[in-house]
Amino acid sequence: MLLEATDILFLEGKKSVSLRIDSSSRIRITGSSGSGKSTLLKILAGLKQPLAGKLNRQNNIRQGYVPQEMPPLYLPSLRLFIKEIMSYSLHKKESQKMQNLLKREMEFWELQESLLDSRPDSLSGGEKQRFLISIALSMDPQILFLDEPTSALDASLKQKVRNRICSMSVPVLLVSHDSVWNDCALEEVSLEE
Amino acid sequence: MKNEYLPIGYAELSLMGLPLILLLYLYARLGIAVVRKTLRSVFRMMIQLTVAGAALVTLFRWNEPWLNFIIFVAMVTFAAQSVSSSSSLSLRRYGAGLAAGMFLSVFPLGLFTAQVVLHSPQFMDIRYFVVLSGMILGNMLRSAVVAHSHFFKELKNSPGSLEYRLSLGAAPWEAVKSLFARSLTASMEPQLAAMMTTGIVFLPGMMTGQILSGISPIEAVRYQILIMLLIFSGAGFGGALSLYFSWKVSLHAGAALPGQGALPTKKNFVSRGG
Repeated sequence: MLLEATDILFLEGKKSVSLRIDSSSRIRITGSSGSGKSTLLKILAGLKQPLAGKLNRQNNIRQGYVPQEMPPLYLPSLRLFIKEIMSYSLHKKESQKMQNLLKREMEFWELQESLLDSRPDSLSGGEKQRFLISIALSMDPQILFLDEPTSALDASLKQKVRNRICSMSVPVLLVSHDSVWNDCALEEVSLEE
Repeated sequence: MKNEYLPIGYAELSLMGLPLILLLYLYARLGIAVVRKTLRSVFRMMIQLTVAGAALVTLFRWNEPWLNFIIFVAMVTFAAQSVSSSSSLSLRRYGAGLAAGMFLSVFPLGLFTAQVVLHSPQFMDIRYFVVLSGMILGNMLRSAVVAHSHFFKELKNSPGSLEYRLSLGAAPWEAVKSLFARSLTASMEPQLAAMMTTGIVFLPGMMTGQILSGISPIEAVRYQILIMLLIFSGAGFGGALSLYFSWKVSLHAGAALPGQGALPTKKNFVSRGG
């Protein structure tokens, strides 16, 4: 068991959620806009505290998280951001391996290396999304948290993301309205009352 | 050049009311509703300075190191209170950290300048240590307010940045380091701009005051350079240390940001790759 959430209250006035994630779990969180899907995903990813409930996560999980939008990075280029990630004490020993993985991922997602010298806010929506996916996958994750990972991509790239994620043997927690995921054999957790 | 100054009597000083009256008349004609506020501010400024002058005369006469230290601590306390209120941070929660950051940067700087650079005749002399520390604190206030406002506003408005970095395995300090650096850069911009333009665009008040009081411009310039370096270092150290302590407080409080939900802490962020 990688993660077990018991009676997690993620938004005031919403019913609490319980779920269990093991190595074969593939879960799609659904619900209308504002129903708290992203908040629940962040709680499960350990990035926010729940209002109530208990979250047990296996220690030392390598996780990949793709946020809905690229947050402000406060740095003048993506290259500096990569440098920052590699400087985290957690990654120092494996920074070369991660850098190689990232290079490979960027190639896979059709991102030029010269993009790294761009200002983060100058990227198009699709480039930002592919960059975030590249970073998440270069973490060599044991679990993936994906928040609308295909919302800014064209049809062929959506399919590419879907094929890659659905063929991976890591547990996935996905928030997406996109129909491209419909045939990915995902268990559904609905946040509708 | 003779070391002399032109004394101002109360009659001469009151003449400075004439341009003010003219300005207020203009404001009133233009319908700019600041006449009452201006009068209140001018009145307060005169009363406060008169009281401060009288107090300084007494304190200069006593000039006891322990008393000067108490005055210094009181100044730091007021400065911390001012930063917390201007940055909309709870004084109860952040006050101690702010005061500690300011104390740890201003005290050694003020003491070093007074004792080592200026060879003050007495340890913690009010004329040097307290006056210089007051000058550092006054200027540090602006930097600390800008740094705190920038840092906490960004954390509140864009929590995604912190969350994303934590998701990538950053330790809490690693996750805020870029924002911290950016906030400090923003806080030092006015100080840098002031240094760049001093002597060209404007003559600093202290230097002008010294020249008016009969000191040679060359001597006044040396003092001004000392003060500018002191103010810059004080603002830099004070802004950085007080912001670091404030961040530590917010981290340990777990959900310490004004109007913001829980932030990840070392305790609840358990996803550490291996």
